[in-house]
This record gives sequence, C-alpha cells and structure tokens, in this order.
Amino acid sequence: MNRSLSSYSLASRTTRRLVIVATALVLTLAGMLPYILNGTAQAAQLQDRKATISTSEPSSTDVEFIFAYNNQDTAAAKQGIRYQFCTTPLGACTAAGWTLTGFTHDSQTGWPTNATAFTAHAAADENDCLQSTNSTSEICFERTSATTGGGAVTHTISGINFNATIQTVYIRITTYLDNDFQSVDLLDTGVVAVAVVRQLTTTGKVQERLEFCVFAIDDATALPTNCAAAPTTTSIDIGVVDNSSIVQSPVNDSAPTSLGNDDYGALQVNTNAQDGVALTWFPDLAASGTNELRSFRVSGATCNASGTDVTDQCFVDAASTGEAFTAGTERFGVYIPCRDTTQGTTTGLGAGGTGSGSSGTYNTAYSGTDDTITSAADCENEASNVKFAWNDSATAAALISSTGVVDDEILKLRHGATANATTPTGTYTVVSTFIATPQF
Amino acid sequence: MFPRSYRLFVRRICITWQALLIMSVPALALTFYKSVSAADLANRSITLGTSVASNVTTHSYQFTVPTAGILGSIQFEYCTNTPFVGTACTAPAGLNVSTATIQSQIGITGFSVHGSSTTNNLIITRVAGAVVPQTVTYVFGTITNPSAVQQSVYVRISTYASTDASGVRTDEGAVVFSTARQIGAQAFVPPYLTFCVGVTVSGDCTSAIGDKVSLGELSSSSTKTGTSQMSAATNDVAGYVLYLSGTTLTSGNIIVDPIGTPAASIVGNSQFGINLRANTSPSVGQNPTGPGTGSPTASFNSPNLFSYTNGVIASSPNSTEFTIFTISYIANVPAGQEPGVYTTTATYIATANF
Repeated sequence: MNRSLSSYSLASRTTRRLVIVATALVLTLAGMLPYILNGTAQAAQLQDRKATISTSEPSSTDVEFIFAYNNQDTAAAKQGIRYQFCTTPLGACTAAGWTLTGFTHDSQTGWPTNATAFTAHAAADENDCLQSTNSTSEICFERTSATTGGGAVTHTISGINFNATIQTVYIRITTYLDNDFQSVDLLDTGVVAVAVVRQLTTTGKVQERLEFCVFAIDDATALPTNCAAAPTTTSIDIGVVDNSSIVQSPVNDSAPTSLGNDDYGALQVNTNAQDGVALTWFPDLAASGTNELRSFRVSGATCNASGTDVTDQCFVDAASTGEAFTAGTERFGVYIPCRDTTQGTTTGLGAGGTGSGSSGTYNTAYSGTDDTITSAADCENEASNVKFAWNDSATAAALISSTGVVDDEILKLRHGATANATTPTGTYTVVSTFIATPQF
Repeated sequence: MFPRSYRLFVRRICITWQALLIMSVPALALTFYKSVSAADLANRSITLGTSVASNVTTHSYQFTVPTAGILGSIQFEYCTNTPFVGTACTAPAGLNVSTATIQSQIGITGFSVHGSSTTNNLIITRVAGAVVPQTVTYVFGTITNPSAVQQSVYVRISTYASTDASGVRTDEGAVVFSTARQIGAQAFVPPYLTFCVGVTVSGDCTSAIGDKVSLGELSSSSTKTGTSQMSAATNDVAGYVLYLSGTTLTSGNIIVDPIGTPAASIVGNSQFGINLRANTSPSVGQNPTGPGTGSPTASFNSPNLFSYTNGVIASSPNSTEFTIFTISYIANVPAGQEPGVYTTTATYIATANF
C-alpha cells in the first residue's frame, strides 16, 4: 500500500512537472507570438490617409478618387496598390454595388521615382489581387520601379460609377513591394471611407413684378427714383399755340406769350420680365363731339371727318409715321426726346436702336428730328426738334420695348403743336393712355 | 375541401399581397406626384386694352402650354398680394372678371366661361381633351379694370385636366399688369380778328392806305365810280361778319338817292350804290381775292347790280384767312341835280362771335 501510494505520489509529481513544463512552454510561445506574427505579416498602418471624391451624388459616373496617405515603409520599392471597395472596414468584403470596371489611373505624387506612373492592372487575378474574381469590389494598380522610399503620396484614379444607394463605402488600401501582389510583398495597409449622400436642393422663387407709372413733371424737378416717388400730376399745358411757331412741352409759364405749366410727360417702368416689356399708347376717345375724337380738340366740337380741315376745332394729327412740323401749318403730335437711365441700373428700353418699337427697339416715328433717344441730363429740351407723330387709333401703337429686365427707366415725352391762321380759337385737349406689357 | 395547411398557405399569400399593396400606395403617390408636378407656362404675357382704372376693357393673354396631356379648364386668378399659385389671394378692389366674354381663342380652343367664375377668378372650360405643347392666345372682353390707380395686379394662370379648375394643376405661371394714370395735354389757341379798311390794303392788313374816295364831278351823262378795299381774317370758328353803316351822298339836305334793291346803274337817274364784285357796266371793281373764305352777301354780290343799304355786306361762315374785298362805288345824278359838294362817310364794321 505504501509502495502503491509512493508509486502514485511519484506519478502525480511526474504529471505535475509535465503540466508545469507545458505551461512554461505555452507561456514562452505566447511571449514569442508577436514576434512570429510580425515575421509573417510586416504590414504597418498607412498614416494620414484619406480619399477625396469628385462628387458624392448617387448614380454619378466617372467619379474621381484622390487617395492621400503616408507610406510607413521606407525601405522597400512601391510597385503595387490594391483597393478594395467594401461596405465594412473589416472582415469579409461586401461589394458596395458600384461599377469599377472602367477604372483608370489619372495621376500620382510623392512616390519613389514618381515619374514612373502606376497603371491599371490587367483584368485577370494575380496572387492577392483578385480583380477578376471580385470585379465589383477590387481594383489594382502596378508599376515597375525598384526605387525605395516612403512618405506622403497621392494617387488619383477615376472611372468609378456609383449606384443609387445612399451609403458609406470603406476602401481598404494595400501597398506591395512588387507588382505581382504576392502576400510576402505586402507593405502597408489602411482603410479610408467615403460617403454617397443625398443632395440638398434649395429652391426660391422671385415673383413677377411690374411697376409702371405715368406722370407729368416740371422740367426743373428731379426725376423720381421709382414709381412710388413719382408725382401724381398728369396735365401738360403747352400754353398758347399760334401760327407763328412750333410750341412743345415743357413750356414756361411766361405771360402773356407762353402760359404753359412747364411740365412734360414721362413713363417710368420697372419689371423683372426676362423677355422684356413693351410700352404702347393710344389717345382716348373724347367724351363728346363729332369726328376726330382722338385728336387734339376742343371739347364737344364738331369737326370735319377728313382730319385735314384747319378751320375746325380739331388739330390735324401728325402722321403716324412721324413728320416734321412747319410753323403755321396746323399739326399736333408727340415724340420721345430720350430714355433716361439715371434712376436705375439697366439700359434696356430701346437698346436695339431704331425700329418699330418692338423687339427691343424704339419706334422711329417718335424718335424726333435727331432720331436718337440717348439718355442725357437735359434730354427733355432737345434743341430744334420739329418731328412728331400721332396715333389716331384705338389700337395701341408701339413706342418702345426691351428684350430683358428694366430697372426704373424713364421715357420722356414732349407734346408739340402749331396752328394755322385759321385754327379756331379754343382750349384744346387730348388724353393719352399708356400700357406696359411685360412678358415673363 | 382543401386541407388546413393549404388554406393557411393561401391566407399567408393573401396577407403578403395586402401588405405589399399597402406599402406600395405611398410609392405610387410619390410617383404620381412627380409625374404631374406643375410646369411653368412659358412666354406668358397679358396685354390690356387700356390701363385706365375702372375702365371696361379687354385682357389679352398669351402663353405657351408646355405639357402634353388632358386639358379641360384654365383658371385666371387676379390678386394684388402675390403671384404665387396656391397661396392666399387678395382680390383687387373694383375688378370684375365675372362678366368676361371670350372674344377670341387661338391654339387650344373650344373654351367658354365657366359658371363658377367670380369677380377676381375667371375660369374657362372645355370638353376635356388631349393637347400638345403649343402657344395659345385668349382675349377676354368686358372686364372691368381694378379701381386703384397705378396698382400692380398679378394674374395666376393654371391649367387643369378637370373642366372646373379643380384637382391638380397641370401647368402654372403668373403675369402682372399695372393700372396707370393718363396724360392730358392742353393748349390754348387765342382768338383773333384782323380787319382793315383803306383805299388800298394789303392782303394781311399790314398796310392800309387812304381814307377818301373821290367820285369826281357828278354828271347826268355818265356814271361816276370809285373803289376802296377792306380785308378780314379771323379764327373764330363761326367766322366774321362785315357791316356797312353810313348815309348816301349828301350835300346839305340834298341827297343822291341810295339804291335799295340791287339795281343796275342808269345814267341820268339819282343813284348811289356799291357792290363787291368786278363790274363791266360801268367798268369798276374786282372780285374778292385771297385765301380766305369770306364772300359778299347777296345784295352786293352781283356784278353790275348795286345797292346801298346798311347792314351785312360780307361774311365768312367759319374761321378764315384773309379775303380782300374791293368796294365799287357808283353815282348817277339827273340833269337837275342841285349843285354842291356831296359827301358821305361809310363805316365798315367787322365782328366775330368768339
């Protein structure tokens, strides 16, 4: 029994020693494991790594990626790069659903012998590069350059097509010593991330706008900055008309010869109509009287239907196409001395020059003797003008138009008349209506 | 009878389909919304017949319908606050489009005014039908402009597949117009009456020479004659009237008989008369000249017939430039006419009724 016990004790001690030795071995191996692993995979982490994409819009095509990272290995050549596009940074790589087959190398910086460019690896698999097997998630680039070195580099590629999925995609980067992508040549690794996101659509609307005003203004008064500041006066008195001269607004109030109110007519317009605005006009129908009801006339007078009678109380209208007046030959009309642009920022009205008054032109019938409407500081007092026109019609006649927006431009109007010796005495009046038609 | 397991299977299939159907409703709605979201009416404008506030006038619309599809109605909503379709609208005071009539329609046609139109909401309707993108023009008459002077008014235009402007808008856009003041031009033509008398006068009265006409020695064997002139012009719309006021040839209380009813000159008779024409018996005077419209009255307007009666001797029915009248005087005396110096002073008067 003692022997047996002794034998048992001996066996027990032997077993214990074995356990201790085994434990020591395990501990020793555990301590050596990092060195063993380091020997089989020497990859270091790529530092300062990022990927900049040319767009984050879903479904974009030919997206450019600019990879930037710091190669930790400085002792080896850099001849292979492998990019894996995955939905996770670690573990098995699940493709993001992008189309990679059109990928191309664009440029590179900072690589040893940087002038030797990387090129897209052929489609076939080669060792670690499973570009054919994992065609939806993996691409490789290679070059032949034995120069060693490390540090910060960039690598720009393109030809990547996104799918419509809003997602974050992780790109696992691996660099290789050689261009055949063997595992033993693996140098550094790292993961960067990009996100495909929704776009932000910002919408605003500018409402249609038209500010249009018609007024009479004294020639000594500053022009209004806008319609809100425009005067509400609408009467233009050209004073005494006889057969000795041509009178035209503004006419001073200098008794006994002139007796005008020194006002002239003006139209001011402001619109954001992108297709422009047209200004038209017609004389109102007189409320009483017979014939020539849209002429410069004495209220209630019976006039000759011919329109040319110089003994009735209706002035002979200036030609609709414009005509030069001769003192003593009865006529009445209106013209545009100029378009003033001092109150706004545009020169749109009549910018197209002479024409019919449409499509950005001004109507030559109304452009006066000098046939120009160029803005000038004192353009209501154009010298020596004798050309006027009149629209003896209910149909609005074109004066001027623009082909774009108009900012507080002012169209000045001068009314003028001369009488025959037989032009009957009386107070003559006519009221004119002006219309602005913007097109949006 | 189907086995229970089969019935359970069928029920699960049904439930699955119901779930799919329910889930698909929002997606369908989104798809539908996207496909019918309103497009902008292009090249849109409104032209007023007149911009005068409160006037009854025409509103002429032109725009391009951009969407192909069913079109049954168009809405024209007039607002003063904003052009944005679908937002609250402030109706312009005084505006009335409920009385609008369609004067013309070009492009997509067949419209009439819908009965639900209001003072600021004009709806036109047609039998709903397919249209293609095109430019259209609609001219509406008997619309009363807003009463505010110098007011901007927005018109929101919307097209609908429905015939009563209900439901989803197909296309939309806004235009804007402005009422405006009118310009009144005024001038005064002063009155004038120009009149001159003399033995001779210029046509425009810038000169008048002489104030005495000598008939010479009156004789029973020949007619004595003389002339004077006068000229007149006026811008009185009713013209002028020239009067004679005077007595016959007199010497003391002896006279030469004035001719009453126009009569020919007869040698040896006691006659004193005048006329304003060219005469041959005797040869004296000339017809009126000048650009004016004045003419002698009948008693003095017959050649070779003379009269001397106070009253109107010439006139113009309207404003006129100058007419020069030559007054011919004739005098005859009988053999027994008392000797003496016979004279008279004739006064000529011009009047105009301004």
